[in-house]
Amino acid sequence: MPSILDREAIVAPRHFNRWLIPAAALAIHLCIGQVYAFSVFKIPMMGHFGTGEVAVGWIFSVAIAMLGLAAAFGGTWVERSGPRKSMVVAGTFWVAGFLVASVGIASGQLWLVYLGYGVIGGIGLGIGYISPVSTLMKWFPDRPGLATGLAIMGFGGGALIASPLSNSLMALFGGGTDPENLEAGLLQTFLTLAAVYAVVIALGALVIRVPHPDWRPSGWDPSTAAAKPLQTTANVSADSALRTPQFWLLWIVLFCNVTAGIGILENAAPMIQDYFDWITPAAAAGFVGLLSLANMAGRFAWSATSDYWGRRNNYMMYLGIGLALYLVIALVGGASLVVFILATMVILSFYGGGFATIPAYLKDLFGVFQVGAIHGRLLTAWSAAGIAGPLIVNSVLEAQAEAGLTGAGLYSLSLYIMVGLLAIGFIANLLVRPVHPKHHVPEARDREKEYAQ
Amino acid sequence: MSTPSGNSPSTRNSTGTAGTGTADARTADAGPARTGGAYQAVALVLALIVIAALAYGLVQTALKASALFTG
Repeated sequence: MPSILDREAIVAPRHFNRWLIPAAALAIHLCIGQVYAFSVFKIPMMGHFGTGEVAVGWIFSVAIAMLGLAAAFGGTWVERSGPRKSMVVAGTFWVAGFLVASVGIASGQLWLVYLGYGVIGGIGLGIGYISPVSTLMKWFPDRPGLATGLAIMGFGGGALIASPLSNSLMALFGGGTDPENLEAGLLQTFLTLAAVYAVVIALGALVIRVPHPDWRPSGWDPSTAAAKPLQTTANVSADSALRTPQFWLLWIVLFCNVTAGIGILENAAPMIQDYFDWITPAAAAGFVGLLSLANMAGRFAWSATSDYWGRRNNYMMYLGIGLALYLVIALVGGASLVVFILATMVILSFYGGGFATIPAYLKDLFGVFQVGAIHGRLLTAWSAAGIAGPLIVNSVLEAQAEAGLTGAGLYSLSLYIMVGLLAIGFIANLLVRPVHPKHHVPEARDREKEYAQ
Repeated sequence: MSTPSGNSPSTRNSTGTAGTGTADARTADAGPARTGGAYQAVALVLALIVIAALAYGLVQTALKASALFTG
């Protein structure tokens, strides 16, 4: 008799409306996507703990580092345990992280916030990020790009929701919108968010289902998938995937695409003000909002189109057109606000699209067997880019400022570095070929192996 | 959440792999999860929460973004 958390307990009947599943996947991604809105707590926390921006900034950095580690090391467990158990575990870590951080806020102990939100919450982030993705791809074998776009769009959407919600909650509990009011409302805001996320993730875990082994989308013929270039019906285990050049080529592709996107995201507000000195801080904040919308829209739209164009072609677009747009910004971005905004929006939509398309690319190359685990290991590229991107951009900015450059000139060198990175990613993507059959798991063995682990 | 399904046919794996220890067989062995009225209601409520939350986030962000053109 399986536990209610086990995969066996959530097998859908043969006739089941698969469109009930994306809401469950979105539920957890919308919750954990809050991490991208962490910056709204920066100033209140700096005031509350009497510390600087760097000390508070480490909370986010630890969380993202733990995301990559948890996804890399927990991916195989997530595949084995199924989506409900992994969503419950991810939700428990995520909510417990908020609660431990709340104790840290109440007691004035910043290290408890590192431990809670950063380490414990970060583990929830990593497990939660990958837990619904492979399940959605199994429900949408005919449209894997659409499926992963739906789920990962939620991660971008989570920040759009959490940012205004957190500000409103801090103002409500603190009795106003002044910095001291927001600071006073921190604790209650963390507790409220924990409660909301616990309920929403629990509902998602209740609703999630895995398809019946005999279930197929109506009118879908699995043999058509094998007929498309770079798409396989064979399977590769997570351990074997690490030994293929394809995995590392995609690692480079993701690393380059994310690093380039962060190059814009990291400094979006000051960048537009340096390019156009008449832009006000409020308008710059509006620009950041616009980029967030482009990031989220790109996750869904570009990933969905990859079902028609092919994953490799999509990445050629992300990296090739992205490269051209970086050049446009570097060469003529300061001449026209419209060109600057459009170019950065398209780049950010490619940044989001890159995140959302990669699981479907992995499924094409390695099959669906352990795609969640392989995806988890590939997300170490995200963690690496999260360190490299800001490091490159901020180091170059400082050096350029010391050299006496101002305005748009501050950014030229870092933009050219991003062009170089995108060129490397473009070449890596071009080199992707189907995985050699020697890496395939024998049909009779693959499912047994899944449960033997 | 568990309610009688009402719309679930037999779920034995028709490929004959039941009982062999494979994942598909094991999921089929366990029988279908119930997806009746209560399940449908919870799924609908969750879908509404997700749509409302996304709409809230999109509207708030669009308002913020509009400052680029007005502020």
